[in-house]
Amino acid sequence: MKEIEHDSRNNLEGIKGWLNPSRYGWERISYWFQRLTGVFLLIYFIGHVYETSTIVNGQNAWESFLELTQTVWGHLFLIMVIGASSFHSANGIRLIFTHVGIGLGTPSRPDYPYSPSSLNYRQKSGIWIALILSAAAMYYGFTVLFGE
Amino acid sequence: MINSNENNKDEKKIVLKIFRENTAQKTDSHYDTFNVPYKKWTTVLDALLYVKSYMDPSVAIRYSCRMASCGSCGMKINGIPRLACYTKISELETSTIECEPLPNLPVIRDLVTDFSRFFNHHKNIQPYIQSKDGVDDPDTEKKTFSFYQSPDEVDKYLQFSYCIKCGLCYSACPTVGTDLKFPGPQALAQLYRYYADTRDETKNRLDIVDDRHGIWRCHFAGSCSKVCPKGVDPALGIQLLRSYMLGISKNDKKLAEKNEIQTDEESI
Amino acid sequence: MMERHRMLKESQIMKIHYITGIAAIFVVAVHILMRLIVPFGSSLEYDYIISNYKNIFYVFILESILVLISIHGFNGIRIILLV
Ligand code: HEM
Ligand code: SF4
Ligand code: FES
Repeated sequence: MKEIEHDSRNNLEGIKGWLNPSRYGWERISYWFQRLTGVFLLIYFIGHVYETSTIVNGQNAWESFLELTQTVWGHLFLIMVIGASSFHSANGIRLIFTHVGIGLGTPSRPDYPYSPSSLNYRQKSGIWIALILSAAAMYYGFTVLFGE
Repeated sequence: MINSNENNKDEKKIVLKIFRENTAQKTDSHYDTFNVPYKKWTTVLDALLYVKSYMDPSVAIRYSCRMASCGSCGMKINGIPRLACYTKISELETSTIECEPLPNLPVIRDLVTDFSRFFNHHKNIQPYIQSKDGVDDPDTEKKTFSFYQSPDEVDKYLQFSYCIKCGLCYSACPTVGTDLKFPGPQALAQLYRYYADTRDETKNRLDIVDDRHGIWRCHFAGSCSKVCPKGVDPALGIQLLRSYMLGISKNDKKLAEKNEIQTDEESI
Repeated sequence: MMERHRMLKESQIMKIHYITGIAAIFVVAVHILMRLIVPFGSSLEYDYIISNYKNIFYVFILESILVLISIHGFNGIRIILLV
């Protein structure tokens, strides 16, 4: 029988498996959001630096560029930025704690039915707090941007 | 047999959808569907063996112990990596059960996958205790003393030593899904298992995975611990290992070595 | 697997990633507060922005945001592209 190479990409889940975070619980969803918000924030960051740098071309250039965000879609985009940055920061702090081994419990003799100590309630609440925080921040942004 | 048919009139049946592919013969993949009777206690492996016995003997599966000990019957059942012998049909609560080969491992035939890459990653982390005592010195006679380990020291790694190398975690991991060089949850958790073992004195064990395709590509998505059938919690091992690599946790092994005699006496 | 002759070990790069992430929270907080202490509309007025730039402390904050988030963000992209 033909040998199957060790570097075969046959049957890899790839990006397609990554795109569906719903199968493995909250931790997987948080990873998914962390990455999407990270990329989104970087795109915003580059755009934001470019946008604000028009100020060196004087008041007219500044104000004409500013109008881009003064539309309904511009406002919605900014609200997304507010939500993404709140989630990414709050969840990022949680992740830094976990990556240094804090808040995960200690190894112990597993007993049936097994419940992994790293997927504990503290971690799940951390994810929910990040989600709620970001929803609240988006709501606040909404009232400021659309409330005038 | 005739009797049993009459007895089983009101027997419940399940639709078993099985992935079929023969990579050696390069046949196109497809699904075969079977109607299989089941009881409250029937496992997915029982159902697959029923198919093999009475319906289609050519279905390829790998199994041995039927009791979640050998780690060979891993497959994707209804979208999630599970052990077929450890998953009851009744607990799935669906009318159709879809069996597919474990993702992230190359398919050999039907539900059988090639574990070579997975095992190579495991070997690469040097999954054995390396100790100076009586090993470096060829003149030393066979060792005549035993290693002392307190129950607390055993508890540090015991959980991780229950791994049966079934590959479910490897299959669930989102990083493995794109990065072939990533060691995967199983290998990383085993690295922790040997690192946390007070008998082990391997030099630079941590450097093996301090690499751009190494431990840092774990994003703590937790999917490995979610699917592990033995309560190993590989994600915990990985994070604890990182804690050592970042210097947050201190390796008390070195300290213990210095006070060897004292600690041994205290712990007994 | 073991790769040598690199400038930084991956663990060192990730330490930088975590530190720039945490530091970004503080400097971005100052940046946002500067917008919030005046009414939203006037925070975007040309003259107000220009007057901000006269404050050397604030300019320093803005520069550090630029540096910290660039390091953190582009390292993030590097991480994502390592497949
Ligand atoms: C404000 C405080 C921030 C904190 C505490 C933070 C924290 C983190 C952490 C811990 C990760 C690693 C995630 C992982 O390894 O799984 C990460 C990834 C990332 N961050 Fe941030 N971050 C912050 C701000 C930002 C900003 C402003 C940007 C946009 C420029 C950004 C862009 C990214 C990107 C692109 C990634 C890579 C995504 C990934 O690894 O999945 N972050 N961040
Ligand atoms: S850690 Fe768990 S899921 Fe992974 S190979 Fe070992 S027993 Fe299987
Ligand atoms: S047959 Fe051995 S683990 Fe399922």
